[in-house]
Amino acid sequence: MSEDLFNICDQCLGDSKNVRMIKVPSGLECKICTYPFTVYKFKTSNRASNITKTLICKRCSDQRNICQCCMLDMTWHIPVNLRDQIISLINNGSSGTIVTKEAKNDIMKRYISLKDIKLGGAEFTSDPKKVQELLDNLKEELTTGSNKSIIRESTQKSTSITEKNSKYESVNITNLISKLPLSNSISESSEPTKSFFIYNIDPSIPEWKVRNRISEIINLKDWQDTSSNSLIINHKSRCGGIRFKSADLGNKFVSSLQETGKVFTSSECLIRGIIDIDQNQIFVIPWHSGFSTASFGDNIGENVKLSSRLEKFIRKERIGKDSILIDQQLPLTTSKRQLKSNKENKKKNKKPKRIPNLQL
Amino acid sequence: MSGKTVKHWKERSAKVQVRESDLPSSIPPQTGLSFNLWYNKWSQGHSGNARFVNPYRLEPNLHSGVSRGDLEGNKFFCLYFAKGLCCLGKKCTYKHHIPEEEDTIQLNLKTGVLDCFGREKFGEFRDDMGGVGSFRKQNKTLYIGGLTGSLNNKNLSNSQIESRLRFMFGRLGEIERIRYVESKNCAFVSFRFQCNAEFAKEAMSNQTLLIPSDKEWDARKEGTGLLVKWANDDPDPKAKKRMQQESEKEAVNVMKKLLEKHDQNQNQDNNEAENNKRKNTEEESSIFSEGMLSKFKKRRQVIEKETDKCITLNTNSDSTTTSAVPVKSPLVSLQGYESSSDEE
Repeated sequence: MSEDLFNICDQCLGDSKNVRMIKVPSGLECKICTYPFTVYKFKTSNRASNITKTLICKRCSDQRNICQCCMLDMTWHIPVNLRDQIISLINNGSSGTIVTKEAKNDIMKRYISLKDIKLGGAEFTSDPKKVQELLDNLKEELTTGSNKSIIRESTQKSTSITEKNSKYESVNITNLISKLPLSNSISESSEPTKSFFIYNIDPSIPEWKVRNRISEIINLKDWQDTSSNSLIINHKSRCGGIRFKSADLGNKFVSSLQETGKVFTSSECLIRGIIDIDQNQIFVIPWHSGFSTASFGDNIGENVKLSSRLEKFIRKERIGKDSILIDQQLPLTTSKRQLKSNKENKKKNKKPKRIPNLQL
Repeated sequence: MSGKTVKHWKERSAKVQVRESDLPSSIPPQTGLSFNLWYNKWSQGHSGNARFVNPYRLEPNLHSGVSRGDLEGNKFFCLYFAKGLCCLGKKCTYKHHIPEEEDTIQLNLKTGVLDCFGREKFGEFRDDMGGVGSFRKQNKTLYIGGLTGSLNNKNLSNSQIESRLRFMFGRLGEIERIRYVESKNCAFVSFRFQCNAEFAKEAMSNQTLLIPSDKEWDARKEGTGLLVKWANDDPDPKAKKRMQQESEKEAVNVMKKLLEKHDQNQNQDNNEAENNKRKNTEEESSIFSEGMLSKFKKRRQVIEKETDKCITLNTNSDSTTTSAVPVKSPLVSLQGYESSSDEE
């Protein structure tokens, strides 16, 4: 009578010592295999407002080693996809990528559910010995840093070069460029403003990171002008605008940038602020005339053209400033050297020609 | 709204968005011959256009606040609040504010199959990508369609539409990116957290994009409202790479956390094992005498007879009980027995 039992994790059951349950035989259709199953309903405490109930059958939960109520892994309490990803990262290549395959049609769903097997990462997490083994492996890798996945974490930032999009070469954006405050310079002496132009934004940077970073810089959460768009980032044109609630806050922003030394002087003796996020640097210029969404291009052609123009501009601006760039890239080269030495240790280095390229 | 400093939602109680007497009838306008009570729909006849414009809208700055749900520790949000028509205000037993980071963490810990309103998700996305969504895939991106309908065919420039979308969706959570596709006249909005996407999906579907200063504002209900659905994966190879990197980063973070947790558990286990050893040497037989155990058994049987369908289960029972056995640490069960013996 395996149907009399259930797989429910401690978190779902709650802290109370006695849980009163209602059992409904064949009460629902399993969300995974579509077979009817015995449903258990309960409240974590007498006063809880929500009833928790089992949503999948015991067989399916066994196959995946997940809780019948929350469908998170029984041992680690994380979603199935994440668990599989973690296990395949730790095992790195030794057994291929581990995925819990799900059937698409009803017949297959039922067919799989009747098999007595463990799917995907369940094989590992359902066995305490294997869990222990995995975590030991992980510990070793984290401490020695020999694993690819860990190194990949530090080398993630890739300064991608704008694609040669000849399609948009002919787009005319002089009107847009003329409205950008590229000749302004950031300093306390200039008249206070609440708007700023930001550029050199890597497409991988999400808006919320910029927002949070600005709050950190001026030490105030509530800097945004709520009546309009206070932060616009156009990822296609790789630039954007910030609008503070007041010019005072803008001033505060400028002074805190200068105090922390987050500024640089361009080749044309214009001062730019720097907001750094992870390994990326975003440059800041005050924008007296303010901006709207249209300031960053009205269609994809204008966006792409603007991004390539800005990239040229940045390259020109950074002439003689390469020292910063080198500093920035230093951790990358070291890690790559590490990689290289690892490869040499393994004596599997088939492409020695590529290494000089990497170091550039 | 603009000049005044608005209090943080934690410092005030939630507002009643619509008075109960002002709510429209829950029976939809007649489009058929007979009304089906079960589905709340008219049947027999032309079903008509099901799309409409929601006359209410959530104003996060004005409406959000502390409700009874916050005090009772309910983890889910009020669906009516998201749609802008909760008539309970601070008496509502669900949360009345925009999902924040801590809410997300709580929700993720609690469950993988319920969305932020406590509704069950499904195995697969619906064919039209609407509805509650799937529990198999983390989806933080929304597809926004029906833009012309929601603007009552008003002509706006691309950047004006984008700006309006940015403003409307920016209020509903931390945005990762917004992209308006001119050639297809649709937009994609990604949020930092999935529960913000779930919330925004309900809050913005069937809303109008018109603002009071437009001359079409009065006729806004004649439009069709926004279509908000789940987005499929971005086919752009760069975006794919970015997604993969992000998920790997997340996986590494979770790995570190797991390791910490595991180490802690191991220490605890070691301590417990030592304790158990000591106990065993002190008293080698079981903790309860046989008489006591049979007493418990009898008591259980009586309770089971009383409630035919209801089974009371001790969260942990050992070989002496016959019913379901969830796995829990033995310490907890001992406490359970002790308390029940006190009652007698």
